[in-house]
Formats: sequence, structure tokens, C-alpha cells
Amino acid sequence: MAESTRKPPPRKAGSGQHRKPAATPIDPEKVAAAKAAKRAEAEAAAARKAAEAARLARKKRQRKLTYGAIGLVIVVIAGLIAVKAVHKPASDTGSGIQDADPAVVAQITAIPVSVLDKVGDGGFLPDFRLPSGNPPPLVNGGLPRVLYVGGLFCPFCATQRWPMVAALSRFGTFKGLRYARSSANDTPKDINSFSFSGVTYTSSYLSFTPYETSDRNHKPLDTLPAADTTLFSTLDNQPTLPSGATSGTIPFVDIANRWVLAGASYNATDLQGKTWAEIASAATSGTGLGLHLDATANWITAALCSATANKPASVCSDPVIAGLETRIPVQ
Amino acid sequence: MTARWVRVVAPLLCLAGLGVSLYLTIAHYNAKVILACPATGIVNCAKVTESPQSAILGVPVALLGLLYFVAIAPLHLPAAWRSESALVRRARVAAAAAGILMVLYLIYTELFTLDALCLWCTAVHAITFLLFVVTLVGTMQTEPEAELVDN
Repeated sequence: MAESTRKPPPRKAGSGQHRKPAATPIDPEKVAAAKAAKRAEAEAAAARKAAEAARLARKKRQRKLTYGAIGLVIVVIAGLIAVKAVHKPASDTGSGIQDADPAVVAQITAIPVSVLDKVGDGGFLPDFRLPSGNPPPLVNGGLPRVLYVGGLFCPFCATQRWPMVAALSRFGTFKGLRYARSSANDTPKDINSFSFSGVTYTSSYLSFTPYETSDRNHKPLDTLPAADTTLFSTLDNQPTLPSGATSGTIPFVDIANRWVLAGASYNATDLQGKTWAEIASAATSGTGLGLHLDATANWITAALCSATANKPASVCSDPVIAGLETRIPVQ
Repeated sequence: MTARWVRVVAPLLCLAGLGVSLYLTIAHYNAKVILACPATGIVNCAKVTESPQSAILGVPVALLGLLYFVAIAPLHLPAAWRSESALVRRARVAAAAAGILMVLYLIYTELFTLDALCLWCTAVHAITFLLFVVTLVGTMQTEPEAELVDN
């Protein structure tokens, strides 16, 4: 208290005597009132202090709630992105489409001729069907035309696309090849391949018009023009297909109206569980699953050579290809 | 009283959200308007905006976004931020929470169902998230004293 430290006033010099303070009567009521006032003041101060503490506590709670909610949202978004980043698309229902590794594309589009020649016919002959009714040659811009109809969900289409890419790359150039994976709900499931949807194929010898009619989840993708729909429904049917075969089978490949390939030409299960890089490596070596893949590519190459009147010579004069060409049935 | 930055930033975010969602809505209804967005890799606006998930109960998500920003814009006007009405404050927080929940659902759909991201949709998501942050922080800073003690 300030009063307790205050010094007493100095006495007047020379006064020579002590003055006795005048006695004041103590009023007990005033004392009690003063005490009550002091108590009330103390209580009010305590209440103010408690209210301030409560206010600060509430502010703190609100801050926690605010920043907690913001943090939670950030954590959830980061979690979704992290799960997506480590998510294995093997059993997903995504599109299965992704950018292709240029090294893999380079491998499958340029299998060494020595490897292809060594593989030769692979010990089998694909089921080249002769279009019934002897339709006129299928051409586009004066070039023999290859029509492909498939779907990204379809494991047999995925299987057939590998040798098609290999064979067609000997006659021209693909641009925009992207990875595709067949449906997780088909058998065999999740076959890794490429998509022909949206690709550009440039060649001086051939025209290639591919259509992937459905995506991996059976949703519509490419639409066939009316003429191609007619062609597809006519030739992907009996009597072009053997009796008992399902009409509308995909993959459907029409090579200039001279041959039709319906279905995969080798075993789709060969590719099951293989990565794009593994399949491309096998194709480059011509061993394992690469044997049938390369052989199918050779057979398709031979059919294409037949359609292009053996152009280009660099491809079609290859003795192995020329030999296969003579073994493909003709009208 | 709300901090000045809240009264400036919140309406600007609303305006940005309105603009982008209006662009997405126009692109949805007008086939001639093509979204300026790549269509390769995981970023593919068309794949997202033309997917079955681009509509909820038949209402395009783009339109829902536009309606959302139209609805919340009055709540983010400077006058609304100055208002001490508990109703306005709670409506603003509720709208921000609803918006962010929708954003989380849409991000999930893009990443795991469609396997594609739409740049413009992501812009709307980012704006909604920022508006959520501004709303919560602004509300925290402006809650009236009376309510703080009473509640």
C-alpha cells in the first residue's frame, strides 16, 4: 500500500512541543460500510478477472476450432492426392489411359528385322478370313485401307494391338500412341497395351482407320462412320466368320477388304500381369510371349505387303515376309 | 468490426468464383465454347466436364457452382461482414462448410472415378477453399464480445 511507505510530515522547527491529535469518534456503521464496499470491489474485480479468463479461453477454443477445421481440410486433400499418387491402377475403374514411355514405344515400333525374321511364322497361321461376296478393295486416298474396330475394355483387342503396332510401324509412323489397360472385370483382366483412339498414322503405302468404340469402363468412345458400321456389321458376321462364331467380334481388322481378322491372333493370357516394358522387351527379343507377338506381326506384315503390292520393297522383299505372303489364303 | 482485409478479399474471391463457374457453365451448355485446357495426361477438362459425374441429379455441377457463388455473394459483401447479425455469420460459415465438403467430393471423383483433373474446376476448388479459410478466420476475428461471454 502507498500509505504505509509514506514518511511522516517533518515537525516544525522550534515549536518545542508535541501536539496531541484531536480524538475523532469511530462510527461503527461507517466502518462496516467501508468494509462492505471493499468486499464488493474485490468481488467485482474477481468477476471481471473470471470473465476475462473465460473470454480468453473461448477465444482460444475458437482459434483451435478454426485452424483445426482448416488443417483438417488440408490434410484430407493432401491425403487424397497421396493415395492417388501411390494408388496401383491394377484393379481400379479408371480409364487405364496414361502417357506411354517413349522408350517402350520406340521398342515396339522398331523391332529388329533380324529378330522378326528369326521368329518367322511362330509355328502357326492366324485365322485370315476371306470377306464373303468379294467386296471391292477398301481404299482411302488411293491407298489400301486397314479398318480396325475394338474397345479399350477388351483384353483381346489389347493383345492384338501390340503386333498391329509392330507391323504397321514397318509401313508408316504412329503419333499419339498412349498406354491403355483392358478392363479389370474381363477375363483375362488388365492387359496392358496401347490405345488406338486419337492416334495419327502416317504412311505412303497404307491408310489406317482405327476405332475404339468403348473405353475401359464400356462407355462410348469413338463413333464409326455409317459406311464403316455397315462394313463392320457385314464382314464381322457369317458367312465371313465361321459358322458358330459370334458376330460383332472384336478386335475386328479388315485388311483392304482382302482379309478379315476377328479376335486376337495369339493367346491374350500370355500378356496377363506383364508391364508394358516387359511386353516390349519380349517383343524385342522374340522370345517368351514375344514369339507369338512377333509372329503375328509378321503375318500381318505379310498381309499388308500383299495389299500394298509389295511396297515398300525394303519390308516386302524380306524373304521371310515374302514366304508368309504365299501362305495366306486368297479368294 | 471485421478486419479490412476480410472485407476486401472475400468479395474478390466471390467475384473470381462467379467468373470461373460462369465460364464452366457456358462451356457446358454451348458446344461451341471449348475450355482452354489440355486434354492429355491426367489434366483433361473435357473428360471431367463431359463425364456422367458432371451432373448431380441432372443438374450440371458447373451450374451448381455458379448458383453457389451467386447465393453466397451477398453474405460476403462488406456490409454483410460489418453486420453483427448472428444469422448472417452462421449462414456464411455454413455455406463455406457446405462448399468445402462439395469440393472434397469433387476432388475425390476427379482423382479416383474419372482419373482426370479439370484445370478450371480446380480453380473453382481453390477459390472455394480460400473462401472457406477467409470465412473462418474472419468470423473468428469478429465474433461479438457479448456472444463470447454469454455462450
